[in-house]
Amino acid sequence: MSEQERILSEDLSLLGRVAQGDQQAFRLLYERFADRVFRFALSTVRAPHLAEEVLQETMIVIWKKAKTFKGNSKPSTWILGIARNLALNLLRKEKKGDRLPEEKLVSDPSKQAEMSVHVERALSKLPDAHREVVHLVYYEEMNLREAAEVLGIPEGTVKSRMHHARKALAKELAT
Amino acid sequence: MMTCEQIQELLPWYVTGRIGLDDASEIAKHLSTCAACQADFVEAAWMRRLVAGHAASSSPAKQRTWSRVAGKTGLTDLARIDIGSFLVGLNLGVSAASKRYPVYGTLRVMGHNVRVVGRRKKGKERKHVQQ
Repeated sequence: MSEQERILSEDLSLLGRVAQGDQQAFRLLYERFADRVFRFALSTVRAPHLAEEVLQETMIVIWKKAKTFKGNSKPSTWILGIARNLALNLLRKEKKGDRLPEEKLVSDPSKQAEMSVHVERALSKLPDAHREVVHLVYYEEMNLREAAEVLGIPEGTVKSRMHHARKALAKELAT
Repeated sequence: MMTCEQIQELLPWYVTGRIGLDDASEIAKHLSTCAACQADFVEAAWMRRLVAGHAASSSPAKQRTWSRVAGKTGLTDLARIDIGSFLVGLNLGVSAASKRYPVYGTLRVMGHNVRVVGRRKKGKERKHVQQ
């Protein structure tokens, strides 16, 4: 069994146990996905407190809806898809002014390497739709089909968004 | 046979290894002879390293977020008392769930737990796990 197959098998097992109401499995699933959900949410909402809120709500949805997971996709694809929907809902509320703004994602030059600040600035200039594709492909290392499933768009659109995002990022990073 | 543009569109997946074998071998063959695509490949790999490294540098406040999740799903206790021994005892607690504070209690007799307060409907029983 390859490493990827082992991880998939463990994810499926944990999600199955969560569907049965197993609290320990839920905690383990949280530990396993907290960073990934938070980082993906951060690529969309751009503020740590909002990304934590997305993580929190995603886990609540998983606890309530684990039984509805049919296994048509990987658990990680399903979970990140939930996170994306919640992140977009949160952004809509933010834009409508329904919520008070809190901390924004700021780069502290004293704590981060200069290049990290540069990358953050370049990423922040991308449209949301392009930034989330870049995250899924480069950080989550999803293939075309998986990224298309999470985003709910055709594979061709994923390809073209990634292509445009890469060109824009290269231009920003070169300045 | 793929064009340079098609090859370059697939390079991010070639860089991460998340691409089919047929496409990967065609890209590898193309890269061995095309300087423009070689340059794009180097850029794609460099960008991947920067983006993945940047994403990995941020983390949530895990314990704080878990406490909120546990509170909203009724998996946390606001108060709990446990008296007696392993064989005979009483366990009473108040949980925190969204918009309610369910009380539960179990009587322990000879190591077996019998729920005496906060009985849930059949099929909705959940094991109480010490956090």
